[in-house]
Amino acid sequence: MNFETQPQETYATLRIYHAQLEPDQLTAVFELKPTMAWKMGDQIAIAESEKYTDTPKAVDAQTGGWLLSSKHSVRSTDAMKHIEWMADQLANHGNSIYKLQQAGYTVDLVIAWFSDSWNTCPALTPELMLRLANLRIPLWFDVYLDKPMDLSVLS
Amino acid sequence: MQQTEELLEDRTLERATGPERVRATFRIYHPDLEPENLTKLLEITPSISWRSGEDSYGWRKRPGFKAPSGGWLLSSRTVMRGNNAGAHIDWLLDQLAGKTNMIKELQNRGFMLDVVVGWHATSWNTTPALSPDLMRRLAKLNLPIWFDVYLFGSEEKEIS
Repeated sequence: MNFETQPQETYATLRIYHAQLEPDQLTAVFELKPTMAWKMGDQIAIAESEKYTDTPKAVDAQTGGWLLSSKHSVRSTDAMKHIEWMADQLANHGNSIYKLQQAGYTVDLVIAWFSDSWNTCPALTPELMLRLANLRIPLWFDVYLDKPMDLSVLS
Repeated sequence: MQQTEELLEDRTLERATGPERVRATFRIYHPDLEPENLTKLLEITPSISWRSGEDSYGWRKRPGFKAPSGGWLLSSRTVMRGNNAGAHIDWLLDQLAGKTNMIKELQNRGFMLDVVVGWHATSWNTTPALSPDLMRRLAKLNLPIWFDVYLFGSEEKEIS
């Protein structure tokens, strides 16, 4: 894989959503401090964007959210390092995640991938895929042909 | 009514972030690769294959370009319709079911094996995804995966 296909910036965000989500309860379950969390109806900030200048600065949250991001914990443009960090944080929490999913919570892992190349190549090893599969977390790459921006508050 | 509007919104988002074209390809490369041997070992007919040094090799078959390595590719491109990447990967993994030991043997002998998902989109934001079940199937076959994402119709350098 050549240099041109690497991203300028990447980070992983675990996202949990539910209308009845209580941030403190999830923080206690995972024994982790979220990057951002809110209850349904809370005012949440919206990222400023050069593309969408008419976007309001804050909105009433349509559902509760609990987000954990690797952005400020992993300094690398290797997406797998960000995903490994996340899998480390969630190790031994597979049952908690499963219980949340069974209760109707949405749980996923989003890999933000910013590249200024025409062609860009997010990748996963078998070992990393097995860790995520064992945690029952779906993954998706949020690929932007654009300069990096903070997506955490958009989620 | 509200549900319909939400569904339409979802579909609009899907169109905006989904691919225009998708394909999944299982690839094997090695300088000493003999296509017939792999076809016999895996009991699968490849979509395309070539030996090291062959002229006009691969999908593009450009005269004067000699293959730097042997290649054996099985692709969903001529078999699967639709742009659901998960369905393309599922089809590929169905073809490889029960071949884990052969795949590991080839890897141990120095062959390079992987799965590439070609993802062509015209959106500035595009979202390839993998479910836990798909990741488990790929992991059990010991196959890495990567998304070869092309935006805005650029495909001159397509690898798979």
